[in-house]
Amino acid sequence: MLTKETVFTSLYDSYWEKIVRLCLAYTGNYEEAKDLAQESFLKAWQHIEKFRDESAISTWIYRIAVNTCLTHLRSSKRMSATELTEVKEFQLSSGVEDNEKLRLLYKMISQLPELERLLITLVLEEVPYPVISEILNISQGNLRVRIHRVKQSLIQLFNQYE
Amino acid sequence: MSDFENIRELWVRHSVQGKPESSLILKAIKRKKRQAEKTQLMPGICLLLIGCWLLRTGFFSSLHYQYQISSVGLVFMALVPVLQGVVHLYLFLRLIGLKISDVPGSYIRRWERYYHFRNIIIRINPPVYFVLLNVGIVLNIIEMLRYYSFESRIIIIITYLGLILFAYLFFGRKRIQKERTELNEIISNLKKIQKQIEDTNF
Repeated sequence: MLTKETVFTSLYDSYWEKIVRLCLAYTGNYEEAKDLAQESFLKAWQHIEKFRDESAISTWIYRIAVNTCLTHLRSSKRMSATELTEVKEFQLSSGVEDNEKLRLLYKMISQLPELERLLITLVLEEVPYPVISEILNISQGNLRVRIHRVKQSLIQLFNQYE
Repeated sequence: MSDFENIRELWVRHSVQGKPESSLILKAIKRKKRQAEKTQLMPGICLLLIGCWLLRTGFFSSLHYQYQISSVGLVFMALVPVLQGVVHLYLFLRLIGLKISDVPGSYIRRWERYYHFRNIIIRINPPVYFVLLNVGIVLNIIEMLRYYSFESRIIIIITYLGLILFAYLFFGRKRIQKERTELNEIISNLKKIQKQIEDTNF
């Protein structure tokens, strides 16, 4: 029989990295991202009994993380675009050049408005569009237009800095 | 890197290290949950208990007031922790009532309403508590003052008024101002995000 702890552990193992990356793209700070991810899993643990199969578990956990990020408000400083201050915890398959590009990518993402930061991260995480549409409660038509615009903004920003 | 696919490829290739063991995270989560309950729930319960203890001391102990007005004063004083306790418990219930997996727009609106409520509370509470507490103390102290000489009474009253006004005007105002600034900042940030969500659903 599946216990609460078994379900949670499986959820944690499957989504921890994805949620940390989502939070990292939102905050631009590794320590804050880890705290936010932990807070998201704390909320998941607290509400796991309330989870019904109305939506997929991925939608549920991502929505918790998105809501946790969006309400991570203590001061306006945290809401402003921040640069990635800590990259030592990242591991890339290739070398230093990729690390620099990654740092730049996080910096670019952190310059987008809050909701777009989360949206683009979900796209980069290859979350299917219908799932993103459900997480953010946006119609699929609107979502496609929005994603197209965010992609353009990101590429434009990237080209400016590269 | 002008192509989005290159960006995506870079993204999926990087991994985050330092994943804590699930047993460790579970421990941390359980500890954090207990801490959250302690900071939100316990003050409310403690304040209610303090109010009850004050009333018990005044009405159901060996302490007997000579003047009826002293008992009225005690009720006023007990009202302060009781009211604040009720506010704490109400806020706690509102917090646990927030559905975390709600759609972002609705979730943000609920938080906004929660902070608006807190903003109203910090506007109303301090003057109400100030009046209740001081009326309570003054009514209670009248009985005690009869044992002192006229000069001592004047000194006690002036010292008391000086201390209470200093505490309210200096520390109280400063703290309230700081809290209001923080709350307004949070509300304005929530509104900003709310606007982004509304704009997304064009």
